[in-house]
Amino acid sequence: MASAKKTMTLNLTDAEMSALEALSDKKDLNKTSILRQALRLYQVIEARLEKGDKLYFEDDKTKEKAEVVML
Amino acid sequence: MTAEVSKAYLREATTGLVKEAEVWDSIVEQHLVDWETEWKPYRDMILQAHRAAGVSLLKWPQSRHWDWRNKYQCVQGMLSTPSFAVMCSGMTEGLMLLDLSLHRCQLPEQKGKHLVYVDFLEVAPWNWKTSIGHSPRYAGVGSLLLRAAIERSLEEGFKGRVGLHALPQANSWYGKLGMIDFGPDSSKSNLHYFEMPLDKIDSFIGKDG
Repeated sequence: MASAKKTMTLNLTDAEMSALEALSDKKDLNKTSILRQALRLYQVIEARLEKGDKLYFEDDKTKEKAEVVML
Repeated sequence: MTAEVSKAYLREATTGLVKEAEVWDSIVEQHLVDWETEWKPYRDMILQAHRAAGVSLLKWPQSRHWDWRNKYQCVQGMLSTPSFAVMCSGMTEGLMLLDLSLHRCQLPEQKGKHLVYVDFLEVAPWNWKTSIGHSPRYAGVGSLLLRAAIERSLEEGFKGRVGLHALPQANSWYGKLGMIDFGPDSSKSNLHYFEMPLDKIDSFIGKDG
């Protein structure tokens, strides 16, 4: 039931491609899946910020929270 | 947005007859109208019967407060929360919302890897098994939806990994499917968290013959 997909060319620097390949290896996902996942996360974060929510990272041990400032 | 529809089959619980069904890869307005005009009155009738029979609230259907229009409106247009519906004979028989972004595997051999998280899955109230002896119309609607979640996981490159928090009345059903029960999760109202181990995925979606 896979939805129809469109193809695009993506121009990345060596550093960006290296980062993409590293994430691809680490997450055991192909590059397309990594970028699709990144797009979903970007969209979720934007939607929550637009609603007035804030994004935090929490230290698992100390429970200290640090707000991620999004521009 | 256009929904894609694939063919599936459901079994009538009373006659055993197999009927052609459809799995939609998006909830559309028709499904929400069915929820409002068909599911809700039927659900209210079941709840009324529970009340009349003096059934303890603990045994009432635990998804009775779910509002699918509201749930759908909260996630409409979000790439990370695809929705699914099952239809049979022109009627919506089951609904499901997934999350593709915000959860990771807990199973030790898959820890931290992406999975498809089943946020909400519900079958139409006439398919419920209830404590007042109500017989479901169709068997297999929940399985069809869970299979759709696994197939989506495969399409995403997540190797079929799925996880979910179950309402207590569904714990035994997910256990019977071979999902691993991680026990109560204090961050989620103590609902039990389940994951499908990789070695159960092929048999569940019928790919191992």
